[in-house]
Amino acid sequence: MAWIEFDHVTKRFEEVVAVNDVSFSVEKGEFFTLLGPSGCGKSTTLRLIAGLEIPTEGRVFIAGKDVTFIPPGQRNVAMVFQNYALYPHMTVYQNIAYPLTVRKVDRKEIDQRVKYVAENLQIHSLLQRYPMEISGGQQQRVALARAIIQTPNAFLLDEPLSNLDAKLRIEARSFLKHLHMELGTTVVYVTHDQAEAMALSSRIAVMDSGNIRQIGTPKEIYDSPADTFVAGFIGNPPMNLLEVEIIGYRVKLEDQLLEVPELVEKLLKPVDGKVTMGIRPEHVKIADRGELKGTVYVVEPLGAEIIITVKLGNQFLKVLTFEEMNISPGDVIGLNLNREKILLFDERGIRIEKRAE
Amino acid sequence: MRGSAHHLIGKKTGILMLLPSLVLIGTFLVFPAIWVLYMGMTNETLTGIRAANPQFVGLQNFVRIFKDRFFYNALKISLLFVFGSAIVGQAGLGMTLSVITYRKSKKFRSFVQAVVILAWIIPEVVVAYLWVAFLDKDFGTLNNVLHWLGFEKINWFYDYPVLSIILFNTWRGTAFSMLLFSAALETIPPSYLEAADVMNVSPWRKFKDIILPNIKSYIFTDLILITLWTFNVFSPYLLTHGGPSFKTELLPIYIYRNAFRYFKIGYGSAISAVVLGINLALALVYLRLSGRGARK
Repeated sequence: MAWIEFDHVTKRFEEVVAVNDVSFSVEKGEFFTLLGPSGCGKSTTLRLIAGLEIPTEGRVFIAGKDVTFIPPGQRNVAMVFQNYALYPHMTVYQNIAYPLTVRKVDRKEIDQRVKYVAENLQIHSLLQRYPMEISGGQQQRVALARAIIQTPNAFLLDEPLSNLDAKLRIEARSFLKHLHMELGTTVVYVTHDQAEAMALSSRIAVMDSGNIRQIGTPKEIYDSPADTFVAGFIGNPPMNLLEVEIIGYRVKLEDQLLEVPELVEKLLKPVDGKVTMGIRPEHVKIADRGELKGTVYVVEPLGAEIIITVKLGNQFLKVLTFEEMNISPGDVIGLNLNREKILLFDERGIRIEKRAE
Repeated sequence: MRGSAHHLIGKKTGILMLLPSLVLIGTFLVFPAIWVLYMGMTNETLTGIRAANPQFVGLQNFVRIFKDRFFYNALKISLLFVFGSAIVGQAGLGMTLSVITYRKSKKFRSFVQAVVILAWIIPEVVVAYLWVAFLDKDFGTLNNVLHWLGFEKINWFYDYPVLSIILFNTWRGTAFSMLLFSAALETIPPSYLEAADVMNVSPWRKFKDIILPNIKSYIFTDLILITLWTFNVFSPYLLTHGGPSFKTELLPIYIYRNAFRYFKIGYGSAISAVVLGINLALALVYLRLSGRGARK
């Protein structure tokens, strides 16, 4: 059985449906991420796992036990909050020791375990300081130490990196991933940052307005997004989504035509008329004799890569390239699309599946 | 916070802006206090020759106070009254109520707060009358209820005078402490207690380890204020007139008796000056305690 399981869980706050009939399961040892924009219900989902909220409908299981109505303290999970929730009047040592102190663990054992965890997280030199006296990154480690010392069934992390500055965030991200590999404990992680989700997770659940749009490995989510929401949310820059028309074996984009016989043949259902075409910026190549013609709108060099926004009629297409190019706004350039990577979405935004090869 | 005022405005401007309030404080607080000290060194009376021509008698009045057994009686009752009605009653009950309503539904909290504040917005004299009506020996509500339940009627104001005024003042003043503590509790980030929930911390330890240390400074502020207010409160006079046989004669009532019933304004002023000193000492003790309580 799955380690953490949501069975048709709905959570309503008065009139607002925060989580709408959500089901998923997390395997033991997984790094499972709930990803979505603010207000999508990801934090509520995490709080439902912790027991800080009780579902309006549905069931929650942890380690094979129905915990739907079991108070948070008896679920044996450890949570790290966005603001870390370290107690300002306690030293780092007291903060880390606190979960054991309240369990009335023997003082010697507490001392051993605090020192062991602190050593591992490289915060042993801070033990006598107060939370206000250490940096944000250090506070985060203290919060993690306080979670780890509880040896829980799962770690629940609520946007733990969002209070750190950009540089520290990348560092902390690698640190978290390494920590998860070392401990092997199940992690449920909440973030609105798709890069974080991609970098850390074994699997990602993309959420939007209380619903799960897609669950899958980072690669699945990236390569075959279930709908235009997921496609537009993942990737930096995200996938290009263009309004096109399918006419026979051709795609009509604005007033240009593109022959795509293989693509149309592979589709599981016949498509005719208006659809949305998705293509990732790195799957568009700039070529002198490209099949599509467009006008360069903006060029954004980012050091290693360049993002070029191209105008095709009334629509914009982003191109990601690693080659140095001598182009400037106003230039007319040719574009080639990697046919294999083109995705089509129907009028509801759902991806039209292709036959497996 | 420290020093920020210096950056924002110049020293001169700062003093200039403080001036109006300093003038008001000087006129209505500092000057009367000094005047009371001066009057306390005279034998001024309310009527007669000494009302027109008071004489300077030095520290005579003060020497007399410390030999006056009624002063010690009033001091003792006042301290008991402050401890019972302010510290245990108002602060204790206020804390209990605010913790009970904390993290509960808004409706429940608003309801309890509304009920408690009702006690606070009713005019003093009306409240006193309500309590007389409640505790009266023959016609009081409480005795009627007791009688109906088969108990003996109790002459509250006669048999339990201090308890009566303590209950009265607790009822009267709890709203302030409760509101202050409720507001203080709101300053604690919810995640502090949620983290504790997840760690399986018992309610008592949550209160002791997390809530209390985080609202300590508010508690000291509350205690300073209600102690001083209760020390100076006069309204129990409306219930018991200081009796029976001086059993509820608080310091302000004792001052009133001397200054306005016995017409000894000079002596009354001297007692007032002593009470002022006691208040000052209490305030300093609290400030010292809260200063030490704050984190280094």
